Amino acid sequence: MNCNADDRLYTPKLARIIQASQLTESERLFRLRFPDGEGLGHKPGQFLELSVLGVGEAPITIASPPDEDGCFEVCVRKVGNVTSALHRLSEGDLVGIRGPLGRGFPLEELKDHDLLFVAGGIGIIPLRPVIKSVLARKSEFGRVILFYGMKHPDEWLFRDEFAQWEARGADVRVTVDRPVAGWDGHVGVVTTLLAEFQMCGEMIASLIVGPPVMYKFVLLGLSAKGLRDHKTFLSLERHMKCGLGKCGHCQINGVLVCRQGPTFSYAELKDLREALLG
Amino acid sequence: MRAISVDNLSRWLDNIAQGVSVWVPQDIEGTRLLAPYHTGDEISLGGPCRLSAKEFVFPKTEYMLRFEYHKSPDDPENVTIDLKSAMEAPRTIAFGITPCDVQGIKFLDEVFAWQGSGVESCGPQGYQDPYFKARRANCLLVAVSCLEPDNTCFCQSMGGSPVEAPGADLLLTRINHEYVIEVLTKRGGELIVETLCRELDKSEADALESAKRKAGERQELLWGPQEVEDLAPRLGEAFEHRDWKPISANCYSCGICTYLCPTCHCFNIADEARGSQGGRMRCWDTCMFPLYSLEASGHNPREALMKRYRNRIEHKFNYLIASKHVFGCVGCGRCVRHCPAGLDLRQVVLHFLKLDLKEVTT
Repeated sequence: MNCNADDRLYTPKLARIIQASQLTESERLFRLRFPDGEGLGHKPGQFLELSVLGVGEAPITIASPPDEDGCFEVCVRKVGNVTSALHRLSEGDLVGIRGPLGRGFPLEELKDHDLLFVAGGIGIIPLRPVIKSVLARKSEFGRVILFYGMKHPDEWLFRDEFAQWEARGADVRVTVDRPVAGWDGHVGVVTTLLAEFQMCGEMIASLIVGPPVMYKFVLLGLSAKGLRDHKTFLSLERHMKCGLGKCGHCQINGVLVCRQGPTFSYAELKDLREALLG
Repeated sequence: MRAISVDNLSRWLDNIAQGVSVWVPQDIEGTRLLAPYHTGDEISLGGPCRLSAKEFVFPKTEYMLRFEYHKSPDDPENVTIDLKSAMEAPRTIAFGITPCDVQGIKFLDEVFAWQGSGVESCGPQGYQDPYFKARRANCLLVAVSCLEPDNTCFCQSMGGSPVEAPGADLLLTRINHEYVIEVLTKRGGELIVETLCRELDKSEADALESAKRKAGERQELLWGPQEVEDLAPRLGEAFEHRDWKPISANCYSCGICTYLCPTCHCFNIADEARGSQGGRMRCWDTCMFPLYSLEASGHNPREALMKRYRNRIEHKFNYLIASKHVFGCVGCGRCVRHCPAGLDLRQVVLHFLKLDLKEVTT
């Protein structure tokens, strides 16, 4: 989208649901395509505004890496009006798309770095396109480590893909918050995985997405291990209504998350009041 | 320079209202409001209206899109959607607005029609709001000097003036039984009807200057030029101050301050549908409502009243200075006059300006 007064800024482009699959009890994955075959042209970490016309529009992170045969994916938890209406749609139905919007993760600046991904719950969704993009070009990056924490094993998103990611060289650790019958993996919040994490130096970057309380403790843990603030990246959830920096809902201090974010380095957020839990 | 007699005003309005919607301040059941002008209407010029003039460029509710679902009769599974813009930009003249309202619209230009000045951190591309731009292009602003400011007015403290209106197309100033007309733009000049006006001579121009000077002197300055520079950093330092809580405690979160404010511009976007068709609209919203910043996850960064109130003040006097180099307040005094809890934004800002911040935080 260029700098112009085009009224298409607020007008969604219609996309068709190619495939819809229920991943967990509350999350559904939708594969979408514009009828004209044009791609979305996004970067990992960007978001879009998704419309179910007649119900409304909501900001949704893009779940797929760029350039998948003109298709793109969103993985949506059923929470409010728009997401509930979206869950009722199926293959062949039309939704409206505005985007890509916001700033993605600075992947090109992270070449040759060891990458640590920390995801909590549905925080894996915005990281999935980064992980897939990195693993597709694994030789350009160093080690790839993924720590994924969830409350209950039933909430494990993209479970079948984790094995593929390991096969491609990612070091993956998964944990659930509390002991659950039938779970013989690691138990404890995701920060407990950081204890066994041994890396230091300038060439390490971390990408973290999860709830506010997770940010608080993971950031403390990573700082304690000497990770650099300007190489620690996270994605903020805010109520991004217009996605164009106009409506004001996502304002934090002098920052509009939908334009300057939603991804930020910790260095950018450290002194930004109200951005993270105190 | 020209002047028009008060007795000729309605003739002038009749003349310029050809094919254009002209809105003028009128006394409606005791309240001065901008309303569409019809021949014979009594107008009430001088001083601010209850509502600001932002509605002309940013209406309370505005349709953005219209849509209609179509089912193919032969194949009911095959649904298509027609989507079209609902952009409207009627030719409008806002006649008799105050200089502070002109300032407010200039502020909205920075937000909605941003062209790359300021907000460098947003990156090289800014989005220009198409709905705002279209309305703004078709709206002429005729301002009237405030010769007797209200005791809640503080436009001069915010860098404005009750008697100058840069950004307007015409400025009228009442001198005795006439309005002196200053032409500020070419399209403003095109509104002049020569036969209804007379040319002013040199001595009368001096009378205008003197009337303006006197009007300016009637308003007390809240702070000096040096203190203005201190406002943003002082409020930045005061962010954690314990006084925010008692100061905001009386606020009802009713949002009337944002509703009346010429610079507040938050909006929500919502769909309305009946059967297979409907529209998408945007409507004014307010950061004073607790649900305003609620996220889908349930997390709400500004749920507490104190945080919402503080954000409103910090946004206007601190954050916008950093991001756009302007204050988000034009000193119109509406929020002071109409706050049901009696909160006075001037006193709040002065409180933190005068306070010894080193003494106590948190």
